Amino acid sequence: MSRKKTLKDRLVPVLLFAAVFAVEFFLRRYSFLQKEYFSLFLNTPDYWTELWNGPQPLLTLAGDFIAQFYRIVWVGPALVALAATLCFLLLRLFLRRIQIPLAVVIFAGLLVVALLPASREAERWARVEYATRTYQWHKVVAAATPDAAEKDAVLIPYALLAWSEMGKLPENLFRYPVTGPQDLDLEGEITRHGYYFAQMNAECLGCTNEAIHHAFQTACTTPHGMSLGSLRQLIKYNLASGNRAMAFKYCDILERNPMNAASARAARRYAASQPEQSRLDAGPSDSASVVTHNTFQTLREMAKEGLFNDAAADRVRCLLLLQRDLRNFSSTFPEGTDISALPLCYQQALCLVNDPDIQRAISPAVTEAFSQYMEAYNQIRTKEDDPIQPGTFWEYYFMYY
Amino acid sequence: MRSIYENTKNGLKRQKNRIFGCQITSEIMYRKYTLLFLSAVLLLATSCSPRSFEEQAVWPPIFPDYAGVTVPEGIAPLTFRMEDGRQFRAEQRREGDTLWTTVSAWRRGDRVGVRYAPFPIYFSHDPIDPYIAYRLIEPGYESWRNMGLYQRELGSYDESPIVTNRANNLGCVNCHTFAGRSPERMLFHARGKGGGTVFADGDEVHLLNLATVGPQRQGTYPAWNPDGRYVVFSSNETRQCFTIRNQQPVEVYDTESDLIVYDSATDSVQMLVETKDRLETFPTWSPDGCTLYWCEAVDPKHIPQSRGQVHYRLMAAPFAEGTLAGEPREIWGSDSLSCSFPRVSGKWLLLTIARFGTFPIWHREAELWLLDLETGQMHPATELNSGESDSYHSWSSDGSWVVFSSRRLDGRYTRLFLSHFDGDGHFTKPFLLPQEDPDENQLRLKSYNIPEFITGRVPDRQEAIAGLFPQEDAAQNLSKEDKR
Repeated sequence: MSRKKTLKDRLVPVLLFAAVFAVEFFLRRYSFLQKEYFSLFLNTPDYWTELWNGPQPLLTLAGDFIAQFYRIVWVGPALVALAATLCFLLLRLFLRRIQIPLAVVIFAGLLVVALLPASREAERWARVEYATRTYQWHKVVAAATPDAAEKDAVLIPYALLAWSEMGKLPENLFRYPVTGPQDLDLEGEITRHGYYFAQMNAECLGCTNEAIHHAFQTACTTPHGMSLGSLRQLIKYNLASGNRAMAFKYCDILERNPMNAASARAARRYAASQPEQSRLDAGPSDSASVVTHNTFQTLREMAKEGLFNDAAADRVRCLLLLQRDLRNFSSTFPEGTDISALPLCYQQALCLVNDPDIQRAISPAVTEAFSQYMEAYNQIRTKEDDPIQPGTFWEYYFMYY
Repeated sequence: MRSIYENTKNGLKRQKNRIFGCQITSEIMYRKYTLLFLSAVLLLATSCSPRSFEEQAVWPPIFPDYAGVTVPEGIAPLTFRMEDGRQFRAEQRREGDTLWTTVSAWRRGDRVGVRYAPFPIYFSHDPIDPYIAYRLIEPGYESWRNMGLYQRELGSYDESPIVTNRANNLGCVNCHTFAGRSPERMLFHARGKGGGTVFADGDEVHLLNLATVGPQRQGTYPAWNPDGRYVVFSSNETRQCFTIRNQQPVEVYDTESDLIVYDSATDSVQMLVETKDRLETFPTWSPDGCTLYWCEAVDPKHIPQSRGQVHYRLMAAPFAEGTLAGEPREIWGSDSLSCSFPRVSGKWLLLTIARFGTFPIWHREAELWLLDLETGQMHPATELNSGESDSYHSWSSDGSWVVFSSRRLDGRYTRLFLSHFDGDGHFTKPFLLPQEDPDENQLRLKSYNIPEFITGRVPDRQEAIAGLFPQEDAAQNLSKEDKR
């Protein structure tokens, strides 16, 4: 005869579910969102063929199928909480007398996993990438702080991209432990992070073709060579570049995913409402500006395309500062620029330009600080010594050579 | 007029009535050519369809557009759907070598449907090779994940891998070619760690890294001499750049290219054409193997800025005993156009023409042109061309069919089209390689690359080929990729 269920019997699983859900939601929700972004489940002939021909098809299918639901932010945490609760209920059949310790052990185990350094790092990355693609720049800089960047230098370009989009790049550039131009563009980083950053960077610069290029590169690092997130981005980029045919194609494909079908249909309706661009309006393609792996050249080409704005100008100047190219840096300011009103790091850099007119135009406070810096710098110092004026261009210029 | 059902019954005689198509709801149904299924389809179609139809004197808007095409006897059924997704019924009757298809279409709830004028599909008795080999790959953005060389039986929808890049640790497999279109003898490049050129002959496979022998050049575009002994490769240093906003997103170019020749009898490699100020690429043979054709351009330096000045010309030279036996001569050239992928059949040479450059697949203006080698006359193969890139092409064994890749569906993903050639300089309207589900042409996320006719099924050598590459590296590479 089964024992009558007590209040405790009913309450413990509910509390366990709630506790695990809270842990997963507050400590790992971005990881679930990222998992969905890089996953793929499609009801297309090619998906099924590749699935069955690949390793561990059933496990892969289960993973792909479940991951699509993580697009809803609470689903991932809820599924983990549900699994933990079911596990508890199963074990309780045999360990009824110690059900509270059992629940505590399960909860503690999941808490420890969520607090592991690797999990925290993965969550931070997921949060930064999510915030970047949703243009929540304040969240990017909140996660990619100068302190966090000390431990993980790949966060620096994300933070600088965010500051650039907020129009405050020069004010914040040297707050981060920058060591060279690669901190601004992540050039040469052939990892998923590198490709993903290049995609977002190109998108922000308005280089749609380059954004599509890197969306593909990012997708190629995923197990299926394409992902739900990349498909969504590709629809967006193709709409931005007026390529309705491609946008339709990706909408058709994304419609084969249950969780994305509605948004794919909405995107399709939107695409259909846009004017169709002539398919042969490419113009003389031999004169089209190109992007290269050299950011400078890309920015120069952007100027030709009329894409050069204040944010792009700041990127050029900051790149020149990171390259210590002061001659070209000073030449980017047009005649009559009020130098004393420039961002601090620009004035700091101009202190090092041997031009009396420029020197006179720098604000007295900066000139004074520079004198103090040089006085201290001229003492014998090593790189291990504390910085004289942390966060200044001078510190970067003299100490990171 | 026969009904679908009647037609299908007769269609069991394979050669006669393999061509018909209908799809009631494209989302969920994959047709199976069984009596039972079609009976159900017919029942469903007739039960939901309007009772009356308004006649329209135009051909129906169907996808793929198979109206008025010429197809070889025995090709897989040409399945289609209404372009706008309407429900439809197709009735067919065959008169001699013409299959007439009458399409009636309607939307759910319509009281009156539309019956379109019957459109013809013409049968040709000219034989076609039974298989096509091609590569499936994401459309060319530096990286890839899963790619492979595949073969497709033209008489069915059967597609099977010849080799996938699981064999070589997710490296690249490319530039496949067959000796005399024979499935028994082929080669392809396998890039990446431990890579090289894989030669397969019957059950034998071996790997040769061309860059480590002879002049130490790697091979790119191959052309197998019809006698089977020599393979001429171009050796290219290829780069690509991306345009900022232009509708042509990518330009692929060579900074260096020459021709090398591999002698299978001695397993050796020699330089064949090497110049410092010129770029030589895309070798191909005359059917008798005595003339080598290739494309050649003056290197303007500073590409991509100067890419508009790169105009490849068509060259030819006699070939004997593993070397050029005479001075190269220019067959065709232009200061405003550039040619690529020359392929010869009899007196006809089919090639791709673009405004400039060496990689026409990214050039929307790229077209196929036909050169009469006897008269030197060249003209666009108008019937084949579209508003998007029409490029890599291959002749069937007897030259009566061509297969070529085109981006006309969406501007980016290449699909295979076939067309009949009358031997007198004219092609018929090209038709899209039929798929069991017509939507697969849209849904496939890979491009078809380098289609080649082959005379039979390539034997399964995947295990032997995988054995050429260290498999422990495969595991490492996979995990590396996953960790990115």
